[in-house]
Amino acid sequence: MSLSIGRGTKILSYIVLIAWAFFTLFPLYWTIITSVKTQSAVSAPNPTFIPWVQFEPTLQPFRDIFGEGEGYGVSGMGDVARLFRNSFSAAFFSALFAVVLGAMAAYALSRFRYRRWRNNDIAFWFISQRMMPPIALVVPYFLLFGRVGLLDSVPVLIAVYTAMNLPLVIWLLRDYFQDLPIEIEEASMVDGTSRYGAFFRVALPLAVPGLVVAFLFAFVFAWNEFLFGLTLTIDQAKTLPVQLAGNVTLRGPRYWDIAAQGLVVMLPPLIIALLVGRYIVRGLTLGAVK
Amino acid sequence: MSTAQPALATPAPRATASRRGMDGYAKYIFLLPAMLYLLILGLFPLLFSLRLVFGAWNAGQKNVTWVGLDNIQRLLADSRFWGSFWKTLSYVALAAGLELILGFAVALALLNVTRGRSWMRVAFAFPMLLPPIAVSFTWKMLFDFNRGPINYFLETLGLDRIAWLAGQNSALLSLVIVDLWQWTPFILLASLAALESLPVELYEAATVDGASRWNLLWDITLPLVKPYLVAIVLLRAIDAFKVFDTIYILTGGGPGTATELLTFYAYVAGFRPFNMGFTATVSWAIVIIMSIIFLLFLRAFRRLEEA
Amino acid sequence: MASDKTFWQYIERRELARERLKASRRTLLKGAAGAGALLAAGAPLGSSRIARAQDAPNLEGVTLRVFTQTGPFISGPIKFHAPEFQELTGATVEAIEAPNADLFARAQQVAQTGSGDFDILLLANTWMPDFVNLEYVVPLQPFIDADIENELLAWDDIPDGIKRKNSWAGTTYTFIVDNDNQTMFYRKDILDDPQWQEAYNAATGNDLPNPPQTLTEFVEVAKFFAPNGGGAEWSDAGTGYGFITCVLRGAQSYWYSYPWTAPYSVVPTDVAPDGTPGIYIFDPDMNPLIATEGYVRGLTEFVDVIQGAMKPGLDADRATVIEDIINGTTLMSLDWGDTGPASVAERSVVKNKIGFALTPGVTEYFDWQTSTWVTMPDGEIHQTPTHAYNGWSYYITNQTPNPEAAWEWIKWHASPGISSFDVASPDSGYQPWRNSHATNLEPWISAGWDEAEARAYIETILAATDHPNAVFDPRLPGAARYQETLELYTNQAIAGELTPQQAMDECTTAFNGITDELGRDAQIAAYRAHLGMAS
Repeated sequence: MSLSIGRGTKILSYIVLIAWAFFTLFPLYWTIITSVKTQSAVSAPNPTFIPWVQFEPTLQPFRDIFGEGEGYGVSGMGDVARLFRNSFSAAFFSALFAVVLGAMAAYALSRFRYRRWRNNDIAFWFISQRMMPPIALVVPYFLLFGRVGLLDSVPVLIAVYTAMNLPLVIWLLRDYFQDLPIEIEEASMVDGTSRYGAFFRVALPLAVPGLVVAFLFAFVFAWNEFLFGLTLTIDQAKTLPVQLAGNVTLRGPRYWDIAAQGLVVMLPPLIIALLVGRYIVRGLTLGAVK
Repeated sequence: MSTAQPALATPAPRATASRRGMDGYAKYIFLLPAMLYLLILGLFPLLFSLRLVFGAWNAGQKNVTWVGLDNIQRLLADSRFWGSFWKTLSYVALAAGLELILGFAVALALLNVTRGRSWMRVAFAFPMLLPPIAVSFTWKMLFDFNRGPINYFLETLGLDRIAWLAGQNSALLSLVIVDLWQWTPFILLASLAALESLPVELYEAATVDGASRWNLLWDITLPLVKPYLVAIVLLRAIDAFKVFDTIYILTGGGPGTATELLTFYAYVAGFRPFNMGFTATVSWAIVIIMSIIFLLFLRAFRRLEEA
Repeated sequence: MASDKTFWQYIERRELARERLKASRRTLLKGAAGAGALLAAGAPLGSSRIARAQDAPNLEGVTLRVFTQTGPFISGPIKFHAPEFQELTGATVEAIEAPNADLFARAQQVAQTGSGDFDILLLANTWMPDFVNLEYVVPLQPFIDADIENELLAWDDIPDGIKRKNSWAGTTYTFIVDNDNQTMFYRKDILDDPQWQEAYNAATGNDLPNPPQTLTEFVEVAKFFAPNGGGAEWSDAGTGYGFITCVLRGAQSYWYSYPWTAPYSVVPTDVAPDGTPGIYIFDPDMNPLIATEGYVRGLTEFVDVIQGAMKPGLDADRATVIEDIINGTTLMSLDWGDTGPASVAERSVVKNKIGFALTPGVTEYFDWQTSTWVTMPDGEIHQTPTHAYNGWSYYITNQTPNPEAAWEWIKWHASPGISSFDVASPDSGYQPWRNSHATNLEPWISAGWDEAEARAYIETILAATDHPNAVFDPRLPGAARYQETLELYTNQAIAGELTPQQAMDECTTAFNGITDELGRDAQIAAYRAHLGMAS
């Protein structure tokens, strides 16, 4: 939609947008500058905003994270490489599995007609799985995985995150497949390709952009997940958000440290947002307007 | 766990009748893996935990003992649970409501400008993608009573400092603000997409008829996008219901019980003191409450769609 | 630049610590060769850094996993000393961390499901009964008996109060490397100031107590030195407040109510049943004592002083309590000992200005045995130093394949030499707990203390440890549930959701529910084991 717009409206719009941009970006800015402050700069009676002018930045908080810390601050984030590896594997593989399973189901929902269950009801059932409060699964997961001795393992996180993201992925991809022209697949099937061939050789390659967006979504949400990470891991499979959350008490938050650790955890989603933000935004709102 | 999902309004599937015979098995081979997976990791564990509603498994106890309806009685008699229930409802209503208003307003503003629209769209999406735990720590710094920038701004403007995280009402409000920051973008971007898809011709006709901009918004735009907005808000409300991470970092449920929303209540009254039977009981209560609210919403939504 | 200065001082301090550690290591190794005592005298960490009489054990290839809290204050010393221990014995020591609020859930999870494979725990002393009941930890008594003459163990250097905290039901299960009793911190420069003494007298009609001996005096002083009391100008760092405490939920806030409720509700040891010290929160039959007039009065005064003398905001956590004392904006606190070492940290403006004393007492207490108030004889004050958390405690789990190696680490890390370094550091959360910490002051002086100040601080802490009326945090099965509950209701009283009496009445009901659920008889037996009473 585009209409000619009055000057006043335009100015008002810009004011609203600038205000919103400030609201959105200031917290990020604050995190970044806090991560390069010393303890004295953080505990100063008045907050300071401008590096080099109001306070002298330091990289000490980051040194603490990566194990070159001072005194007891050594390895402030523990085994940061292992934490990163855990978070990454859990997010990457769960996103991958969710996309594989999800693409198949989404394709089925957009190409076949299910008489007894009705397609819309199946789709609704999938999305209703997203309604399930995660806390309801915490205890049974804890008991079931505990019984088979699988607590504190990355594969369990992968399995759980796959289930968590599957409904969303199916929903996104169903829309995507519905928008793909059926005719090409039909033509190939007339030429003797099986349904599987049509899916793998025709539909999937066409759907790659959608698959990527769904994958990135699933990756980010798994990367950010906290409750299952908190309750199902102890040490070997501990993820970054769980380690970060450990800063919450005892001698109170060491903000300079926490800001640096927070940035480390924010980094992959931030990179994804910067690189492919535009597609993500489209994917995000894709289904909403159908 | 939080996310943005697409709406429930769905078109009919485009199946091709001619291929049905050949698709006999494929139909199920494509669909069943995902379904089975969700049954095994979703429904089955949930049903499994139903047993625990009638059991006790506590700290220092090696096995489950059966306690009948004790857990349920304790839950229903717990004023903390009911308090938590009402507070959760207020939180959800406030967050989803304000996000709708703000998101829609900013979307309208974004629609009015051409320069910078594409990068703003990406920048505005940032908060949604960030880990709630990290985001919560950021806001903990911003809300800090003595050293936080927000109170510093207030004081510079000659206003009183606010005990953001410590007041009975302000603590819940602070959580809502964090929710606004992180999730208004979802409603914003979804409304923007809906607005952009509206046909220009309608407006042109109306403008010719001499309708004011306000009339246009009120009489044409809103009715057209209403079903989308309702669906989006519903999805947001469901996610807001599950809020946990921000409470964990920002208030720990306090002051008193002011921010003990349902998921956190289940965790703090059940899981943390290692009372598995009670945790399962609260969890089931949450599932039931959410299902009821969801169904009510859905009914309202259907009626709206028919109207 | 200020920040650069901090940085270089840090580097310097670290280098110093490294040097010192290296030197002590040399001493240890040489000591192993037999030159023992002579060389030990020259060890830079002071004479208590005792060289070993026997060879350092060979623990090549052993990995010890220690489960403890996230963050530098508790796990930091482990990570810091681990390389040294490795050089000494060949064993690797790793710290496995979890968020503080979830430590107990996590430990239970590990104990009950057998996941985790920890060799050693460094956790709350109060969880001992739960671990013992699950048979998750092994008694340390045999190790101690075997090493009773060992100089690293230095058994005679450990105060009786610590030994009592280490044992439950007559057996030693833990090894405390911390102390965790509460202390009064106050600005002695302000209380010593004749001008303020005069102003106080004019405003209240009383002499300014220096320091306050009773809670009543404490409240009056705290309120005077706050904006509403008229004495807020005492601080050069901004508006002054009289008192600071931790009120944030989930941040250990209820422990801060202990020094307020214990003096009114705990009876002196000589009138207690069987002369048992520290009967607190429950009577020996597990009837809650928290809704008694004594306990509620203490809680009421706590809420009152928070409202009347503390800065607004109600979001203070432990860091704020410490920071507001050392940034010079608050006059007094009742806190764990960390404020002491923090007061000499570089950012502190109160170095040598902080006084240390036992937490205030009362002139009348409520005797729950007779339900009457008892007034102390003139001039006498009833004091009940409280121990909250009782100290970070080492446990050896039953899962470890190397209990002996685990013991070697504990013994070494807790030895007079190493521990003296940790307790003196402003960056550790350990408080002095050995007698020798009061005599070996070198680590304190190198951490920036004046000798006299350090001695005053350590002696105050040790006095609380062995006080005849010392109150230990109850060690009961389900301790975490009782604690969670007490925190909730204490917090509701602080936030004004309930009156102190209402809150404690409801808490009593909840406590009884937990006790019944866990089995009243078993709980009574366990509680008596904690108190050291015959059941």
